Amino acid sequence: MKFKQSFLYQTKKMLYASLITSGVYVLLALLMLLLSHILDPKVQFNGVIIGYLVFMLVSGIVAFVNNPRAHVANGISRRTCYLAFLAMIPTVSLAIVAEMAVLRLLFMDVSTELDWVLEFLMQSYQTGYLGALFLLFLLLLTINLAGFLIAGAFYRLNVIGRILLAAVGGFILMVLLPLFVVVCPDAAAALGRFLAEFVASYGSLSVLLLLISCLCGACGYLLVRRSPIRSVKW
Amino acid sequence: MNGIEIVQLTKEYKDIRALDGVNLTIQPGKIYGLLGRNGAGKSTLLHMIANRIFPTSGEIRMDGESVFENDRVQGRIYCISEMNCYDADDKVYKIWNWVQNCYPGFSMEYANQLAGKFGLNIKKKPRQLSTGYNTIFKIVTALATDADYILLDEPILGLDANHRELFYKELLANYAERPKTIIISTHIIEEIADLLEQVVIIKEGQVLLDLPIEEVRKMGYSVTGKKSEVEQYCSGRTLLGEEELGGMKTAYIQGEPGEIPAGLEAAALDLQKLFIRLTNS
Amino acid sequence: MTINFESDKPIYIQIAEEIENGVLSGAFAEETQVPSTTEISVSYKINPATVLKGMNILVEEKVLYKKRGVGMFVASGAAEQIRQKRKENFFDHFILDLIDEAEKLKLNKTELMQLIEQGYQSGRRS
Repeated sequence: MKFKQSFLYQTKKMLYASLITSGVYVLLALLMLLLSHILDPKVQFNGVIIGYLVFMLVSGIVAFVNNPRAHVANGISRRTCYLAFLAMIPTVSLAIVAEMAVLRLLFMDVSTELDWVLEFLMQSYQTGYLGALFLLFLLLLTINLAGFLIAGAFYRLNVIGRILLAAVGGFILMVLLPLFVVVCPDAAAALGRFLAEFVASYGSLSVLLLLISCLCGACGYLLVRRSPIRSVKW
Repeated sequence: MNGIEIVQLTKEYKDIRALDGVNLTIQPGKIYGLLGRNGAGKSTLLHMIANRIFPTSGEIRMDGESVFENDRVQGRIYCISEMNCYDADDKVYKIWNWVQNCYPGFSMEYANQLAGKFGLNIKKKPRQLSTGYNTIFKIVTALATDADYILLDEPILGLDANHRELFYKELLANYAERPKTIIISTHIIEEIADLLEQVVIIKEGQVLLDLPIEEVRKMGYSVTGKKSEVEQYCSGRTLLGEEELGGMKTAYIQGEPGEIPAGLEAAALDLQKLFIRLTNS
Repeated sequence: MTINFESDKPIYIQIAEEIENGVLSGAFAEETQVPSTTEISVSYKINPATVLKGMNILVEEKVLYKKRGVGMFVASGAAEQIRQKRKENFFDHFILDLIDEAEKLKLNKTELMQLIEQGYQSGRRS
């Protein structure tokens, strides 16, 4: 089994990319520090966490087409590639959380966002610093797998299917949902309270994220296991 | 090595049947020519052997195991085609590191040597290379893996005459060093004809023939002369095709020539001419 | 050695004949090694199996012999042997064909003989 080679290949690539992202933030932070000394009031920048989340989402999306192709070309099955992918994701998520913690230490003066989010998590869920970091870790890994699943659904569907999926998804989010809230405010409120239960406690949120990741992971495999390799310019 | 067994392989798309119940055994250690017209199904066949696409029905087996999603078997196969498979941001030498990880037999030294001979810049990314050099990158990679089964789908796309000759020589040198199974699929038939040991022709998703090259060369001949005399000669013989120019006629006939009547000239059919005659619908 | 890829003659036969020519001319001396299958294969871009087939014909006719682990060598007396064989084939391959061609051109026997005389006298033969 070429599992080890596949794992190292995927992990190295992702770590390298995440370090570049962190590197960009470090540069930005330095720039902000400099500007803060010159200008008044102090300059701040936010969006670090969103940045990492977007990074993980996009990585998951491009992974569906690029990973199997680069593996099958070298005689490695989609199955081995995917297993290594599943092992890589928590590894990289952990690394990113570590990078976030380091950034927070380095740049407390110019970015309160990391502080703010972590504080918020710590207070809402009555957990410590590490507990909050763990939630971020789960969020990163879930979003990566979700990206993979979405990319997979679009790749495996034909043109009509893709249009339908995009349209239906968009329609539900932008039309049905607001309509529902306006037309049946009581039901909407009840639904809202019901859903809030799932994110009410630390335990339930963790379990929810893990469940979503597992679901995405399983469905992702179903979509990738017989996926034809094509010359798609993604 | 037991070769590759292809059994009742079928691939259907919405409106066409790319492969239609193909039965074929690829014998190990030979240089194969996989010939066929555009859309005949050659690429589909090669891509399936390489686990890139899946059949609608049928099997492909090596050493008794299915080739699909099989790490062990696929580790002995390397396929190149017009598809660009690797990370678009990796330079050639980085890609070779990845290939070496997956194919223990890969020789970096040999790859660099070949790169030198062809003038391939390994510090570039494949997408920065011209079509010809992109193909050269793929060929060099394939030869350097030293895999037991090397599948080359249109390996001379965009190559100038000098590079083509170099490729044929390096291919043969590689084969002579350690015989392996090489399948070349191409439209440029005459140039590779003498490299081949076995010829497989695919027509409309089916195997038209699978023969050693000398047998294929014996399959037909041409007869040229005065129109009426040629036509008389042709009666009772299977005609593969004909051409007329003024009062002269050339007939392409199946089989081997016996006694040729005076006044008519017989000539052998080269592989390309034979291929054209056999695959014209 | 030249191989004519356009010719009707199968490549492996051409290879056998070209090696024979080399033996006859002395380019491949008796008891010396001839180029290996690989060398000929790569030089002329011909499948090694085809080259081997041609060389094996000569091994069977005892023109060449194999030394294990080393290669193919020219047998003693090979040149003479080839000359004999070709003399025997000369009549079929050259004489009869010559007469056929002459008849196509409507040359009679006397005219053909005259042409042969001319051929000996001319300086064309190299």
